[in-house]
Amino acid sequence: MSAPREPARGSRDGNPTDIGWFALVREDLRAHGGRLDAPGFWAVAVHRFGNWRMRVREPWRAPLTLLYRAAFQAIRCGFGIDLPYDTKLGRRVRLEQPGAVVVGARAIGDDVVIRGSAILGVRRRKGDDGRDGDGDKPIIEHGVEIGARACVVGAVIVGHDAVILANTVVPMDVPPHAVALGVPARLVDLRRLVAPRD
Amino acid sequence: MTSLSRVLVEDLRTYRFDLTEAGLWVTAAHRVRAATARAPAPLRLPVRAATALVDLAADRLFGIRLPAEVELGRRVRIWHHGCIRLAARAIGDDVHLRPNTTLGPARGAPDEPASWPTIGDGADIGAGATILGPLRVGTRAFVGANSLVLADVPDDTVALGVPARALPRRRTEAAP
Repeated sequence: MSAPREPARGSRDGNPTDIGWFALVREDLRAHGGRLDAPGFWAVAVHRFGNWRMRVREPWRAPLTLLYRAAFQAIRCGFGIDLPYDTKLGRRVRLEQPGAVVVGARAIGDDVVIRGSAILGVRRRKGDDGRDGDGDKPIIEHGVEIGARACVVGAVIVGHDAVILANTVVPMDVPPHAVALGVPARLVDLRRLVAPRD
Repeated sequence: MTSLSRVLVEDLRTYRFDLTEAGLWVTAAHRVRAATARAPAPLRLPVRAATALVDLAADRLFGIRLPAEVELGRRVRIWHHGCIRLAARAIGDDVHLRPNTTLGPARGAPDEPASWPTIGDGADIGAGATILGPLRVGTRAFVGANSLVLADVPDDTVALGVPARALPRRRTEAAP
């Protein structure tokens, strides 16, 4: 997954390009069960708005930026969902639960599900100034499911349709369709873990 | 008082002057309260009221709880917020803490400073780590995300797992 050379992160609209803005947000709402009271929907909607505003030229962008920042802080404080607009977000991403969700990823694919208190971010802070390197963040491919309180840390790639089970810590790449479990994660066979249903 | 202002400026720098970071407010309130603990009542009581308000907001809105008894080092950084309870005897200088971290007494022990852990200078505590009991996390130790620490972590080691096992830090990860 080699990203094409892009201008500085967050300097332009990073929303999916194959769909209009309103259709995109309507789709996000559907992904959250059509519920307007789903915190995850509002977090994603504010993220989409933060990206859309980058199409507007200065100085008209300034009030939108102010509005975006206020909304971002409200989501961060009120719901505890920290989803900066410069994280590249695919379509129909679902944030299931509010509370301590930190989404510091380079990119998140379509149809990803992220559950409560999951954390995506850097593995180690860089240097003495405590600054986190951006290239140090994970890439989540499409269809991945990230369990509650799971942590995906470092410059890793989680392959498409993989499952990160709850409380799992993933400091390494996960192949497509794999299931990761444990601290640190091992790849397991989900069918052996879960008793067969008759 | 000059030393308080210097420490607060240092905290501001640690948080890159981002006043929206809840950790910065909690840290500042904690320092101001500690610095005015022996001040005469006309100064102490309004300060106590203000810091109590900050603490209440931090607890209810952001989910960060830092008891007044904690001996807090300099340049401590609390990244993000949510489900953070920091009941430690002492937190050293340059410690980094992250969401969902719990420091506190082990099961069955009374919830008082004597049964809380001590975090050494430069320790880096991963998100979701739980550190329980009157133990010591060594200087520059690294506690992995979602780890459960129930025993001392030696200096310069990596503790990872449930319960955590200590591994020597890899050479590539050695502190500069």
